[in-house]
Amino acid sequence: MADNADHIDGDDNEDVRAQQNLIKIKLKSSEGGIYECGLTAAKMSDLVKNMVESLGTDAVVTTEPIILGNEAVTDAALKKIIEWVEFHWDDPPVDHDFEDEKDRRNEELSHWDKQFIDVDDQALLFDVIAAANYMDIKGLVEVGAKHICSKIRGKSCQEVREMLKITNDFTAEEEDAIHKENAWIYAKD
Amino acid sequence: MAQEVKHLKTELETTDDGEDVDEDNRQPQIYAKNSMDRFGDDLSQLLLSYLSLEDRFQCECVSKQFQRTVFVSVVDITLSDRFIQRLLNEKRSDTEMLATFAIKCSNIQTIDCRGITKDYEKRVPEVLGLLRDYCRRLRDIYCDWSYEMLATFGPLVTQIDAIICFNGSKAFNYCHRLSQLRIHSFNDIFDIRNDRSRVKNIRKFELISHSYYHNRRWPSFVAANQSIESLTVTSRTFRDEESVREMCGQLSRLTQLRELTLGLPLRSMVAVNPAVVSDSLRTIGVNCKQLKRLALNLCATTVQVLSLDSLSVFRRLKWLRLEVYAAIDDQLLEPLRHCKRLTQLGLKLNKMTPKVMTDLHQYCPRLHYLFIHDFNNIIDTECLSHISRLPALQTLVIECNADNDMAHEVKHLKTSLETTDDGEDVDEDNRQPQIYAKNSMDRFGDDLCQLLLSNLSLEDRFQCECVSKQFQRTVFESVVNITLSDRFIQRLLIEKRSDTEMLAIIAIKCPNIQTIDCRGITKDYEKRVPEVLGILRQYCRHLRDIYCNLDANSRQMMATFGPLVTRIDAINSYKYSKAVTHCHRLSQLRIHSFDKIFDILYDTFFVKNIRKFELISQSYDDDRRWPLFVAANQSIESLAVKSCYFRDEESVREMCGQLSRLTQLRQLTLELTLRSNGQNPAVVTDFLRIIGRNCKQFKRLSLN
Repeated sequence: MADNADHIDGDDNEDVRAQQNLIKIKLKSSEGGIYECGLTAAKMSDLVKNMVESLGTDAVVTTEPIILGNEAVTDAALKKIIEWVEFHWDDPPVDHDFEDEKDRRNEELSHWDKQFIDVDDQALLFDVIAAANYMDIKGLVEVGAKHICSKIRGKSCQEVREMLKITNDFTAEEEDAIHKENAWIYAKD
Repeated sequence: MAQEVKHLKTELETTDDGEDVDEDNRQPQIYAKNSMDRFGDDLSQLLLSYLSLEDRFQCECVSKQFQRTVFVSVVDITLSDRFIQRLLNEKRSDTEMLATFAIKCSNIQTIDCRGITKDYEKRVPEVLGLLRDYCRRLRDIYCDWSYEMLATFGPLVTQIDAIICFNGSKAFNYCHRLSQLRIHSFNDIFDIRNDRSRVKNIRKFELISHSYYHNRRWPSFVAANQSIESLTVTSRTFRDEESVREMCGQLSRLTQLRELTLGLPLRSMVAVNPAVVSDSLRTIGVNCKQLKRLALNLCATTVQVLSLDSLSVFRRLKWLRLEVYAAIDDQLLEPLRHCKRLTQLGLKLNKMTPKVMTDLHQYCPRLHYLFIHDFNNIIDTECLSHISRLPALQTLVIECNADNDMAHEVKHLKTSLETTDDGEDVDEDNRQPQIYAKNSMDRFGDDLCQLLLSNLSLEDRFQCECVSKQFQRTVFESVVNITLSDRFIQRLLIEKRSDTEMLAIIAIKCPNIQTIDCRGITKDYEKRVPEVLGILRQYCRHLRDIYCNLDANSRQMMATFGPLVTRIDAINSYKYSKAVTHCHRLSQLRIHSFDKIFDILYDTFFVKNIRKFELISQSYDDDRRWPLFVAANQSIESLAVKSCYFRDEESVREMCGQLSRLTQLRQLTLELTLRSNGQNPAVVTDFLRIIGRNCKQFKRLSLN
């Protein structure tokens, strides 16, 4: 919001956003599925936002769907992503003057987000995260990151590997050396 | 599964060490969809950036990608005693571990060492020095005051929290990048020789205890710190209205101000003119155009109504918090109609009435967030209906005084508003209530859960505390009465240690205890009762009633806990019965004979105004004491007198006559022993008649 424009009002802006979300645009997954999404919600993705702005809103609404070519944007992942943005599009904007980045990072996920991101199918979870990253939806990537970090917390390396299906590419010697370096972590008080 | 993935990779003919890239091979490496290996380094780094420092080290050796990416996002670190203790082994002066740490986390920009205590502060320069050598991007150090620190690391220090030593303020000269500062008074930062501020160009400033006689320093400070964006000033006193105006006049010169917290205690000023506050605020509002956040804390003893008209000039205000201890009128918030951008409002007004809220939805239609401290139980249905008209409200927080019965009621109200479970926030436009499985106890809100669990015994409560967070929150809420027993004390206070930690934990968990019954404690443990009560009293702010017996060692206990004692069951030692005089709230008493509570020296009773009284054995002598007792205890509602022996009819009549003076009596239990020799049974009938006539409230009678 421009600082010296007194007439721009947060609330009018909100009305515009609500109005705009009634406009539906189409998003096409890499698998070919086409899904509708509110315009304001879709614009939470910086990728979509840039496309809409360069093409012009009218063009987007009337013509072809926006193609999301990344292989992570599967039908299932796109459906999840649309669910998330449609829930979050009216979140109050971040006030950079006051809200501390650090505090936000440490904030626990909301109950809704927790339920949303807690998917049993890890392939889908990773699709959603990778797709959100591709579509540049910062809030959703953050949700995914917090979720994964909460799963890693307190687990041993081997447990993390098994859980996240990570290949161990260290030799035993390398691993020992790291453990030795990090011995202080395991020190008893 | 790891094996399976390996297998997969082999099948796909990829090279697994990531080193050899086959130029012809255009196809990128294909990883299993459900393996985190599929992410590139940048995304991996982003995802891992939410780990704590410890977790990062713990999972460094998960894979080479982890090793590459897990430390990249370590940008801020907070030093603690424990950190230093672990990394710098005390006995060796070995800094190798710390150096390894610094090499791994070479992107550190900010180090916060304000949490270091005296024990380790000596080692801070050493740690910082080493980190500075390896972390080329280090820009900010937050610390407490220390001359040595500032002299060495001054140019890096951007935040200082507390100044403990006054004579070293010269060191500020080293901190030319300082941007945040918190001090007690201007003395801490002024050069006494030329009366100039040693700090300049700071952005965030907190002055915790300002006095009006430092007002003369404002001009120089403001001139040197035009850059201030966030300011907190809490004053101690003001001499007169002029000193308030003077300070606010200076503050209004800070044109970059975005956030202002102002504490104005006008209590000390006799007959303050309420206009002074409004005028001073107007000066600030007119000049500080950027101001978006304002918090005001006002106290005034004036009877005149405080007006905040001038809030209307704060056109850009987004966030307002008012804490006012003074007379206000119902139109207090009316000026806010001019603050079109206001989205957050906090109210802590001790004289607030529901009327203050009446037109709030017209004044502040954009309000997202509303906080109200409910001083006088004013949040009722009407008030909530005013609030519910706020069209944009998303969060409502109502804070109740802890001893407020209203808290319960509001909780109830909230439930009816279909709120989510975190208790504080009422989401007005709650579109999607949380859905829990029908057969899961999670579906219940905290209030219902608390109610359900309130039937558990104390032990069971502790046993199931860790069932869930909701259990933990709610299971102890309803612990209001506890009964101390020998076993309880024995388990909690281990005899040999004088360790009271366990008991303190119980007391912290059950802060709602109101009543403690320690009548069941036997001689073996009675010595420890005062200790137990002391700890419970310290943590349980609602403690109102103690039930106990009076023993030989009670004299000291009564001196301390007497005012809390409301029920005494047995006075076992005549010698110390005087201790009862400490119990001025005593309402229930059971004794063997009047001797225990009669002061023979002054011919008076130790107790008065009790409500329930039981006398186990009444003797002939007691006849003459009844008038005194009755006079001092007109409040008795329930009376039991057992084993009454009488000399003659006259004494029966006399006692009954006295009893009939207890007009508040609702319940009476009498065991009369009438000797058959010459006593007239009619005496009983007469007696009942008198009582019936005088004690109109009478409801229950048992006669033996």
